[in-house]
Amino acid sequence: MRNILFAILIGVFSNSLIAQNRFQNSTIRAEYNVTFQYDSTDENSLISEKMLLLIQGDKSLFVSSNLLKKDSIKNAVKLNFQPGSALNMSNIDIPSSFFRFKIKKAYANSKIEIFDNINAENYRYTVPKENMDWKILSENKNIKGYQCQKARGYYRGRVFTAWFTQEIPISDGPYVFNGLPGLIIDIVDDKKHYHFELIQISKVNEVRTDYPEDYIELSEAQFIKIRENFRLHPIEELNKIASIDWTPEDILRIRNKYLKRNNPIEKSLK
Amino acid sequence: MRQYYLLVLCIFLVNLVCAQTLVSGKLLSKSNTEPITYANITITKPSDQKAILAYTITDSIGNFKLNINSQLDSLQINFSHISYSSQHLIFFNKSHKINFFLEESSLRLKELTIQGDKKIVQSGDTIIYDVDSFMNESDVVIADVLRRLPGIEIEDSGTILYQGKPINKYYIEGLDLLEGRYSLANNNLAASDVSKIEVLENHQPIRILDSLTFTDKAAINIKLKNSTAILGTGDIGIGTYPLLRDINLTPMIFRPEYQILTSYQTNNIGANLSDQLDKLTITNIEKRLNRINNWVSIQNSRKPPIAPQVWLNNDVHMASLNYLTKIRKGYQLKVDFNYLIDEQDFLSQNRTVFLSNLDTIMINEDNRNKMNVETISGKVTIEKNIDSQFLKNELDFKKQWEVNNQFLNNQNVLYNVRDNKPHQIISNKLNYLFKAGKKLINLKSYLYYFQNDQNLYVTPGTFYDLFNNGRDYDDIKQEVSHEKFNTITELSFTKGIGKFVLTPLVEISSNHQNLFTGITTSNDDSVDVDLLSNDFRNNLFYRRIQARSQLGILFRNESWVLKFNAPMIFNGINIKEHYSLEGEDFNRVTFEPSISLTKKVKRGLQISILTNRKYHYGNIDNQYPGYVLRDYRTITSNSPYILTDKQYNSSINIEFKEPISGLFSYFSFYHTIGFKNLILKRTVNSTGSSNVQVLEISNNYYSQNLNFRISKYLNFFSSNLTFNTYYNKYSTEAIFNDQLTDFVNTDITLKPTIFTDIAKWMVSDFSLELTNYLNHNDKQPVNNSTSQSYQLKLIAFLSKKQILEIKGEYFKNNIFDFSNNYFVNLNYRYTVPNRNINLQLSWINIMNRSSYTTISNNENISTVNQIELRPSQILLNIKFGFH
Repeated sequence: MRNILFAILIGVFSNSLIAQNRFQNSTIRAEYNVTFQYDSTDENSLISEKMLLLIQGDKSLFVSSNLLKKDSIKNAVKLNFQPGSALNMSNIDIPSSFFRFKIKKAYANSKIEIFDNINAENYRYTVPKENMDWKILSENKNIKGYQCQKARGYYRGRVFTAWFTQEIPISDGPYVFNGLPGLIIDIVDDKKHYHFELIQISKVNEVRTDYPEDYIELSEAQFIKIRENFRLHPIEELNKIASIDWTPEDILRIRNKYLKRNNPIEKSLK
Repeated sequence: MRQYYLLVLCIFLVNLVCAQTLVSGKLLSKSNTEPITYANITITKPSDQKAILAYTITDSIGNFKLNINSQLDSLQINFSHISYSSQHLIFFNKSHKINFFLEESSLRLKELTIQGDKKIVQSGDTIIYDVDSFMNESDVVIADVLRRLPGIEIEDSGTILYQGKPINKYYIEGLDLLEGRYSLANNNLAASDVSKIEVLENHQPIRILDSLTFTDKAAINIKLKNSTAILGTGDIGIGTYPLLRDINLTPMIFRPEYQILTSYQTNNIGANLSDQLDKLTITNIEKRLNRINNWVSIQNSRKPPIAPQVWLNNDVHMASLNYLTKIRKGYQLKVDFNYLIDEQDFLSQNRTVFLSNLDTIMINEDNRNKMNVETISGKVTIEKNIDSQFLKNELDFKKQWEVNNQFLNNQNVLYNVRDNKPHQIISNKLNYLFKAGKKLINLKSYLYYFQNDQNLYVTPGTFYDLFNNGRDYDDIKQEVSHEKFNTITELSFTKGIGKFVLTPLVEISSNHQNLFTGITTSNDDSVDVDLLSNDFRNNLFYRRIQARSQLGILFRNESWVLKFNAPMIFNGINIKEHYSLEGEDFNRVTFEPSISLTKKVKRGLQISILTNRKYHYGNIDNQYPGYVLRDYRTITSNSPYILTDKQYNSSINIEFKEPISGLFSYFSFYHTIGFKNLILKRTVNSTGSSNVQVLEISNNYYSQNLNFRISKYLNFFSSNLTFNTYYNKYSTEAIFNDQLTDFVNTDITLKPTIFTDIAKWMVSDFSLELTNYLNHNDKQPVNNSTSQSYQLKLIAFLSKKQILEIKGEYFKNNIFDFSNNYFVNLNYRYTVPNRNINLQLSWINIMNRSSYTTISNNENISTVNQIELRPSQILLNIKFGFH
């Protein structure tokens, strides 16, 4: 049962068409740890996940480290494994990730592209690049060896406090955050529900990544509606793509799992 | 620290009316005068880079523009970019246009200094927690401690999550005895017996795959204090008439060097334990080898498609023992042993109709059957799991005794039919993965030995014409002894070349079989007579060698996938009948290509087509020339010619989806046409006695299957509506009562389903199934029947700890009129908070219905089975753990 669900939830492999993208030559790989509280009513519902910000020249990608691994496994599977052959999917543990989005910032564009996946379907929407009215404060401190300066800004219902460093002169940051005169090293909202911390930064020669090529284009509001609908009615949504004879325990478990995820980073659309 | 180097090409002074200063310009590379894009520019107080007054980044052609609101006399402009050295310049607070050059240099990223203290010891990918220092006084079992470790969550179902993801292994002292059932140990192992908990991050259980694949799943390893931990779980259920019991006791022993899991289960509530045993000993892959030939049988009722608790009268006991130990580094030995004794009773009425356009033959049978089964089985598994190879060898054995005793009434003649079927199986399965260069090669080998005696006794004797010149006689006995030895060896690997993926595979299999059969009749006034005519006995040798070499080719492009499989198969079959000295040597090489194409037509629409050709050759089941009494009213014989069946299959699948509006649909159509060299000849008399033979007449058959499914989410009703349609048509030729007839069976099913979220605490699932069966013989309709079934399931989550489930079903058909064919079952579950105890109350067959009817149609035989049900009953189960 769990396996069936797992296969559905990660998005069925063979169906998704992808465009391969490479980050080459002195790509900056900034690894962030995001700690977040998925249930706003439960302070202990904390999960953390490793996320990567890959920056090359005029573009960047923000993605879960496991999702990137998953891409490379998918490619390896496509090339090396066949159904019925010695190695099939059941032998492989597919990395899973809470965040399945890929955030692409092309610095020349005024929009940030976000690719996400819900119930085995790919979606694409955009948010403005200038999404925050930053206020730079004079306060500064040394974080993990970098001289950082404080800034505050509002995004989608939350007030964030960011620490950026001019020592890394890239106007970028984790998630959709950008627009400060230096890389964001640490950013947290006032309720401490979402906290992104830089844990490693290095230059790498090549990173491969896939953007879904087969996606549905929609507005941010439409996307959030679909996401919310899946959260509230996961069983019906899963029924649409496969007939599953649910046990009451499965229904309860799946419903509770999604109902608890009531604390998205976007609290409002403004 | 920073290099102070500046070069101003030109500065234009611009007069502005307002107090705002506008600074604009272009940033260029000093070496090649290319624009520098996306560089940081800040305006600060002179010599204080932190007091940022304004900032921007250069655009895609290196231009920038800044508005500054400041009373300062002079300002500092700072330019920085990761690929250039930073520069700054002090200027008067006046509007300027500045073109500026930067010198290339690459930014050195500093290693981040890790702050804070680490409380937990981590070595490589392993994090080790000392249990004593994490334990609270209230902690009883290990789950209580585990729950509090950072990053670990335990779901209500018992699944352990690490960083939100389920763990992939739960080891105790590095051994995985319980596999998926680890919550048994987790909820019952005393916390005081555990010394350390190790969390193994990025754990790949098959070590040879470690370098080839990543995993972020973690495993947990429990280290014991040097003591023996004994624990277990129990599930005890008792219920109403006739005193019901359902007991499952599972004690376990864990020691650092070995682990033992034992289990004893018994019930008389209709839960089938032999299914569980089969799952333990037979895996899917070997099914094609392990098929147990049923030579003789009692007249069986179809198992109704409802839970066995409703209809199965049983009394079963099962004991099992699992032992696991490490024998050397990288090696594990696992020994399983099972014993089962089962008694089952059925009471049923069957109506069988042989549809014919001349005279339809209908027989009614009432039967009571008692089955006794006793099984001993075991398995020895050796596993080697190291970086360079993976080896798993499983040796299985099984010995089973099965006895059926049936009393059957057919047209007022009472028959006693008994069978006795002891059999034994020994099999060995080897799976070996190793690396040759960078490629991973897989070797699989199966060996299988099967020995089977099957005897059928029928009183009074049947088939008078064949066995006693048309006169009654007392008994007939069919004896069968069957032995087979099979092997399969398979070698495969996969290679990718650009957009192509090649999968070469070589497989060699052999199959040796011996079959002895004989019929004995007896009558009051005489002794047993062994029928020595070759018509009634077989001494058959069968050998089949099959070699298959196959090259699978896969080609993939953005919008379509092409798969081509081209196996060359050699079949060498040798049959020898020792009594009649007839036999055949048959060698043939066949080419069985298969091609499939999947195309993404547009967003949400995908079409795939498949076509293939296949050959099937006769197995021993359809090659014995002498008669075998298969059941009390069926006798069969075959031709010595080898059955050849050539099949062409094709199919089309269309998938369409529109996720935003929530519309999903699926359409499939399969078509098969086959050509056979032998035809079935069935002669049935008025008591339903069938004599089945084969004749060498080429004939063909075809089948069509269509499925259409559409589902839509209705937001307004919080419901998901699904509509399913099936259409199946099967046509075949056979000789029925000396007449060559064309049989066509058609069935159509319509099945709408609605799943509704009635409330946050309640869901419902309703489905309706309408089926119409049509049989035609030589284009004349001979049967037209319909059935309807309605099902409603309501699930209420009364609280987090309580679930109530009610299932109702109503069934109707136009053959028998049952006005009261409805069933209701109720199930209530309660988890006692903070105790490892679950209560379950079930009330099965609340309406106290006495029988359940199923209808089946194949070729020209239509059957209605009515099986007697268990009376309405209530059962209370208590599940608990002990240590």
